[in-house]
Amino acid sequence: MILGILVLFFFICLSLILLSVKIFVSGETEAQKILVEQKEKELLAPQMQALQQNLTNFNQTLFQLESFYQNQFKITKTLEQISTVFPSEIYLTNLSVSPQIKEEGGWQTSYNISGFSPDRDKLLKLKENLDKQGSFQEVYFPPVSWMKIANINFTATFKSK
Amino acid sequence: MKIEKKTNISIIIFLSLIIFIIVFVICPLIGEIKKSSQGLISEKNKLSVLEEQINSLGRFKILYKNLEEILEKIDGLFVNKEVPVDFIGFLERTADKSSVDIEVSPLSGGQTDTDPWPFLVFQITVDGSFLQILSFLEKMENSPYLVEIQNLTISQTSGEKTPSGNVKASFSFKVFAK
Repeated sequence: MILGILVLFFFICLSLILLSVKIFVSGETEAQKILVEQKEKELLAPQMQALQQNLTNFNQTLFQLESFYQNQFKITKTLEQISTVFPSEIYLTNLSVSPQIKEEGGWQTSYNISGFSPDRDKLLKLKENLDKQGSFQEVYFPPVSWMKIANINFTATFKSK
Repeated sequence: MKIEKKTNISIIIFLSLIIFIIVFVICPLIGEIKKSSQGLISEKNKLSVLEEQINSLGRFKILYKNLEEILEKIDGLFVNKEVPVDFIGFLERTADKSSVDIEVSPLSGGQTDTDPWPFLVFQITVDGSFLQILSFLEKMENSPYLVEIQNLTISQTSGEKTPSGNVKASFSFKVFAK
């Protein structure tokens, strides 16, 4: 009988302890909810919203500027590259450069050149130099450019990656 | 016999009471404590995220005051869309520095999905030696504006087929504006 009362008393005490723990945890949760609501209101305040908007705009602008400068097409660099492939005595009368953005990013540039070569050998050397230059591809001289042995007015097209 | 029966009855009653307490009081209480604790953890997490957001905004507020100079510089990168006089002045000064003659043709503007900002398109014709034109192009590329050259044609101005002499470069480019 006494043992029964003791065990029952133990369970009643345990229930009371658990009840007080439950009340404490619920109270804490409610307090946290109120704090969260306060902070949310603080964040939704017009001043904070404006600041958040400024931060987003600032980050976006920096990202866009970084991307612009990284992908900027440097035409002087390509002109310098072209000038290295010309043998002496060959000169250009016209050069046209059209850069285009590739779908996968980066640039592909198309070149149209026309010029004068004193003889065929120098023109062959120019073609060889363009082919050897790693950054140029699809080098094409129309057949008419090879017809004359000397005083050749040539045209050519090529692309760069 | 009677005492034994009484003892058995009291044992049954106590056991029933204990089972009742366990099933209908302790188990639901433990369940509710578990649920409340999870709620408490989630609210604490929410609170810490919000506090972090508020703190970083506070830090940014202080930083933003010091960033005014940088923001002004960033603003200066963009051409005034309505009155691009500053940019045209820059083109003329750059042409002077590179000793080339410049002719700026009427411009157009727009914005596409692939461009981050609106832009103006200029068509320019420049007369000078190849090196002078190269210097002009270099200054344009390294200009304090966001310039993107779209195409370039360089041709000889005189009919003479000589390696020296003046050339004419005509090119169009985008400059980003605000």
